[in-house]
Amino acid sequence: MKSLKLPLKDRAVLKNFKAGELVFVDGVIYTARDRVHDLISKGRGKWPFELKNNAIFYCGPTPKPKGRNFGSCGPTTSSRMDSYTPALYKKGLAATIGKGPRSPEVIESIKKYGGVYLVAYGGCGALYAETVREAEPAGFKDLGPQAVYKITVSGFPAVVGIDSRGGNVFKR
Amino acid sequence: MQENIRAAKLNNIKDVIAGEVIKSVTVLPGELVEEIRKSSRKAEGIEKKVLEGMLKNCEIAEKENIPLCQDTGIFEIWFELGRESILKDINVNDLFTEAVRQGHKKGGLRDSMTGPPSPVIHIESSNKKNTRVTITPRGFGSENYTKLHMIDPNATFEKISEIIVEDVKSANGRPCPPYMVGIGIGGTASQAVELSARALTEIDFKFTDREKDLLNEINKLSHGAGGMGGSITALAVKIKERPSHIAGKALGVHIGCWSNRVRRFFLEVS
Repeated sequence: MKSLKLPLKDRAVLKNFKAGELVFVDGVIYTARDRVHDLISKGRGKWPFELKNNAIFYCGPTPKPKGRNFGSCGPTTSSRMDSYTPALYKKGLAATIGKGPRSPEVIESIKKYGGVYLVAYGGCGALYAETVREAEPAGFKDLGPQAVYKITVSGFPAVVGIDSRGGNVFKR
Repeated sequence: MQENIRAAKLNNIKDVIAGEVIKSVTVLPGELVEEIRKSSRKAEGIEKKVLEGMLKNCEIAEKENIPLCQDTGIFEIWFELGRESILKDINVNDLFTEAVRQGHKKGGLRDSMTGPPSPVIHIESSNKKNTRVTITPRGFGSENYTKLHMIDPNATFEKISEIIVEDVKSANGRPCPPYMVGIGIGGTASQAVELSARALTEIDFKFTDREKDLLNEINKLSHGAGGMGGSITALAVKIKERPSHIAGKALGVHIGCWSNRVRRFFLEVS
């Protein structure tokens, strides 16, 4: 079982991950989806965390139920974030986590800056909720489910969708 | 699919429906879970891991009473008024809208709309004795890939199949496969799309020859469960048909995700 520990301490480890293999994410990841990407691209706010060596999880959770760490939190469709993404890998973003294929521009930026794209299991919000150990709002708190949450996960399953060499699991 | 009776009194009917709204996002129809289980036994590699993850997801959601998917969707509801219902004097739109909002609050559903939760409600009268209700939360990971085609009235079913397979191909694994594909043919544009959504509420895994052929063609795309390659791109194809206009044929295509959440019951109000 391969683990990807986030935030990255050593970028060189990303070379060990190959498209099509199952990995388990352990550590801190940040949720962000359509609205946050759009607002920041228009200069209406800044990323509330260091992009370098961190990961963005495309996710808008359900509200936190009583007695649980976090709400249901599966991946949303990544391609809606494609146009914003190359600039983020350029700034040193280690990984994005979502579902579905990415644009050629995103693949190129992952190759160029040495990142990775992970595919989480679509529709599995309850499964992923079980992997969350801690969660706290980290920014854009007025956006409800579209706010940025800092979540600490353990044993979060995902498949390497695009690797740092440009290997792509969606190449048909 | 099991169609149980839900008994309600006029003074608690909203609570009963709100309870069903919550169940609709936490429990999948048993027949569907069984089909996923069968598929996971056949599958290999990553596809198998994904299907096992989906089964685990269903277990957790039901046991913990939390939503299967964070996208608890826009609720689409079919209300078929029975002959003997005492609901004839009730504003069904208001009743279901309020029940959905109550379910949202109580069940911890996500605010996925740009305004207050606003269900889409189809109200019909039926010849059945009892009133039948079908509740489906439509998540937009899959709803976004819905298509309407206005095609030639002489189009063969082969041509129609080609169009549908192309729609599934171009979705390219995004709407959470293995899919449940709903097809509506005939009527007006809006009816064809509505029929294709309604086709997704028929969960029996019994197929006509045409549905079977189309399912085989879709599975030849090899997008696989999870969309990263495999043999199980779709679990079902259901077609609903109405007569078409002589000058054109309306074709609605719903590419439903694997988590095809449907809750159907007879509502007995006394």
